[in-house]
Amino acid sequence: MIRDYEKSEIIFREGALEPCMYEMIQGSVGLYADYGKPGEHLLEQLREENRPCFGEKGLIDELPRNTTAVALEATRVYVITKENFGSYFRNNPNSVLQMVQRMSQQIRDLTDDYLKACRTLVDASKDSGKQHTRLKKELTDLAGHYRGSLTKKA
Amino acid sequence: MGKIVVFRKGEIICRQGDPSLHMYDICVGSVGVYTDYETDRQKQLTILKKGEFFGEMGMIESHLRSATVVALEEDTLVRVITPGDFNEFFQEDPEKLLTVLRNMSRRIHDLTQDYLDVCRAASEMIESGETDEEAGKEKSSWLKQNIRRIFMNYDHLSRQKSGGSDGAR
Repeated sequence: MIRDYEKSEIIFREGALEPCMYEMIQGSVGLYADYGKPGEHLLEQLREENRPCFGEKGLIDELPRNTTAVALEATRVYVITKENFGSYFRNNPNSVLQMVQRMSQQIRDLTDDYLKACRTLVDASKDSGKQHTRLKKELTDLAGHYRGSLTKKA
Repeated sequence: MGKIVVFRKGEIICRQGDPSLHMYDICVGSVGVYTDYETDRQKQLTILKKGEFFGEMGMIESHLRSATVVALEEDTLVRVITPGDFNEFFQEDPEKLLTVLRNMSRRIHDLTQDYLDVCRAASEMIESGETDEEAGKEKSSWLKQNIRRIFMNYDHLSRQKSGGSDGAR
């Protein structure tokens, strides 16, 4: 299913529930947090090269959108739903496999970050009281990540 | 596509700690998924039936098996899917690929949450260290409750990842 958008037209809105994802065929798309609100910022700009997919979480998790997608110029997308996912995959196995690889890489990175963070905590608790400088810095960085996540949620 | 293998009731299909070379599709019968199989810590995670599949995460991420899978019925038939069969297998039934993506997405969500929990623990550790010289004694109750769980998770994950077989089974 092909859909066309004019410049500045909204493809999907943060908070909307719609179980589909998109492949960009032509144009460019901006993914925004808090679009149209005081805190609005552009998270990512997608261009037509490599025909990137976006909004896959809507299809996969069936959760509300956590960004707003806006056409930054005249844009043509292919809409992928549960119903046509099979034929899409048959015709574009690589684009779906790239998605699998991207997520797999993300899992690996997150696991590494998590293990490193745990390691720091284990060291810090063994060393309680007299944390040396490196450890203290690592702890502080982790604490920073945590605080960052709180403001993001708020 | 894919070799079909017969398992007797109680036979082990794959073992926790082994390399993950392929995934499995259950054609007939059912299987039990266990951690620490046949030890005093044995825990059944789930039962899978005909039409369900397992082992795909290990194959995709080339991890060691995180669980042992045992045939629960006599003559359980399992199709062995290699990385080379991946496309064909999921093209036969794309709904299964959506399930894989959904599981991966949940992993990402859970790992992010776990990571932030550790960050929070770090943050509270610093605070407790700053408010009291006797760091450790004045840890918040959240920290106390969670630090054990964090350390256990760490122990489990790091073993699975590094492949140290010490005590993995």
